[in-house]
Amino acid sequence: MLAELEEVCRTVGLVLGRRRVTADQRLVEDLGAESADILNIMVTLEQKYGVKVDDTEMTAVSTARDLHQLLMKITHAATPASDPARST
Amino acid sequence: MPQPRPQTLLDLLRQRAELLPQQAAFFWDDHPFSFDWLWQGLNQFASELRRRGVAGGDRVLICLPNGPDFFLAFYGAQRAGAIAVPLFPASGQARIVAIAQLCGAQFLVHPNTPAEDLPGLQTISISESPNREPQDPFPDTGPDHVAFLQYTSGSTGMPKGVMLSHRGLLTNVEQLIAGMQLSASDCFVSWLPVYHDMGLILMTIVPFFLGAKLVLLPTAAANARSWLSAIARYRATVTAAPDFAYRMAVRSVREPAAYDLSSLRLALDASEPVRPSTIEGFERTFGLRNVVIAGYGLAEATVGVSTWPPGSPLLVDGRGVVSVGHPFPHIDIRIIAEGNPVSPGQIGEIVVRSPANTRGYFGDPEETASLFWGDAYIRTGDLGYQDDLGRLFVTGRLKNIIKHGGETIFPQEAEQIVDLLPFVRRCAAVGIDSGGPEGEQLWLFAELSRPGGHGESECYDAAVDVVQAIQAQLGIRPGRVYLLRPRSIPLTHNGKTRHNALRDLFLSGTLRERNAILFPAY
Repeated sequence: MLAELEEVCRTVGLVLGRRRVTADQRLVEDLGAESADILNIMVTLEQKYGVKVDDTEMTAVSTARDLHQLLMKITHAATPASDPARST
Repeated sequence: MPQPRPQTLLDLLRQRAELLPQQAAFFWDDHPFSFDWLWQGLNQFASELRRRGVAGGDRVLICLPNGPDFFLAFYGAQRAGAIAVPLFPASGQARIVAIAQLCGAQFLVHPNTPAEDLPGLQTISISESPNREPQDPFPDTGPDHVAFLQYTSGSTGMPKGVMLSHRGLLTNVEQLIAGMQLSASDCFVSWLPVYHDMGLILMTIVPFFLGAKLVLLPTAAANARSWLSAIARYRATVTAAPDFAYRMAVRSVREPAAYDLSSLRLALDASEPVRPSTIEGFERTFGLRNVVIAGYGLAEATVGVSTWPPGSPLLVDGRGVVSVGHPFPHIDIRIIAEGNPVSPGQIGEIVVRSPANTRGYFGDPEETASLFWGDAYIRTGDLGYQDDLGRLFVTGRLKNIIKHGGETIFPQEAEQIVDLLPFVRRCAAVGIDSGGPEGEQLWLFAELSRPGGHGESECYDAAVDVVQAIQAQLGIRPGRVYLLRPRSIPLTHNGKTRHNALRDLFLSGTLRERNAILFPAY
């Protein structure tokens, strides 16, 4: 299953207890996420999309959009033969 | 000139201010705050508290985050003759009012004066308090006076205020110093909350007692990097954190070599179950060896009960349980089952006898009576065993207490909040460690009151409401929220939630197989 940006925003919102999260809100500065929340977001996304996120990749993540891009990168790396045109 | 052994925390701070007035009591935001500043400030704030009507023995709630103001409020309340009651600063109004009612407090120290006082509480803000000249005399404070109440979860779900006396605190401070071989030349770096026992006693009162350097950091750091940077920059020799923080430290740094932690002599891993993989991972990542030591303690014994001396290697038993070492001096540990001591190697409830044991819970004779076993031993509610050499292993808990990021939560505390939401039929709160990096967390399972007609979007909003309610009241966010069909939570024959059975049903996948989980779909 490929991640859609809207779904990533909703996952972030669920962990942080916010009904609406936009793609460019910063997790820490704008949404008040703490370290445990970031881990929970990561673990929830891993579970939801069946992927493994490299810990060090998470340090560069600031927004839901960054998370989405990271998930897309991981999914594409895992399935090199997939056709990007069919991915959405 | 050597000073007599202090009898109270106030004696200790007065002696420090007289002997070393300009020495930094602590560093905050890279600025030193001297013992003279602390002593003058706490006396001024005590005068303000007296002017506002605080009298001897009154309880003063302190709802402040890490920072200089906390110390002025905490010790100022004691100087005014009152009992300090530190609270988690993110506590919602309902929680503050509940604790105020439990301990009969009429005063609350808070960062800002709210537009209206909470019911029955007079709010006092440090920044808005005038600098008053100290007015002697303050009430006498003796070693057996209660210095503060440490609120902890109770077996009935109501928080209990552990009474900690000056004598017990100073006794445990000396036990910690001896057992962990701490000295005045140590440098402590702490990002633990000062409103909670390990951060308050081990990481601030101990360095005050020793006259050692203390660097205090905010707890709200979004990641562990500020903690690691401070250790490196200040060349810290001593730090402490729950297991979770060490795991997070490993995960949150990209280039461990950028953090030189080689100055660390001792890093205590305590206050939640210690995983061998955490200690091994942290030491491997940062190139340390035998620096992280596992420890055990509880508020009812003031804080510290056992750990290892610096430099001790990790000891893990065949089941992967890390040993939390030997009891501190003058502490006797027994393992009991069905009221009787058991042999080495056998698992039972850990009971502790220490001169630093509490006298009991404030205003709660029933809970106090059930706290004690035999000749002045306190029942910890933790399960464990001692090996032939007396080394302690903690294997689990008797009660369904939830450990979440170093906080202790009783299921009922969370359940009574979620049960009030209109769409919830019944809620169960369980501590679950699914093996991931986040460790044990509070997970909530809420049965919806109507069996059908719940769209994905409606469920999502409901789950968000659960997170919000918990955060507003307890100040933490749950690890997971699951919405269930009615009658999915297993109950005893007389209708009580079977928390362990629910955990097993979830972890084994049975709950999902039974189609009991309405949300989320993964």
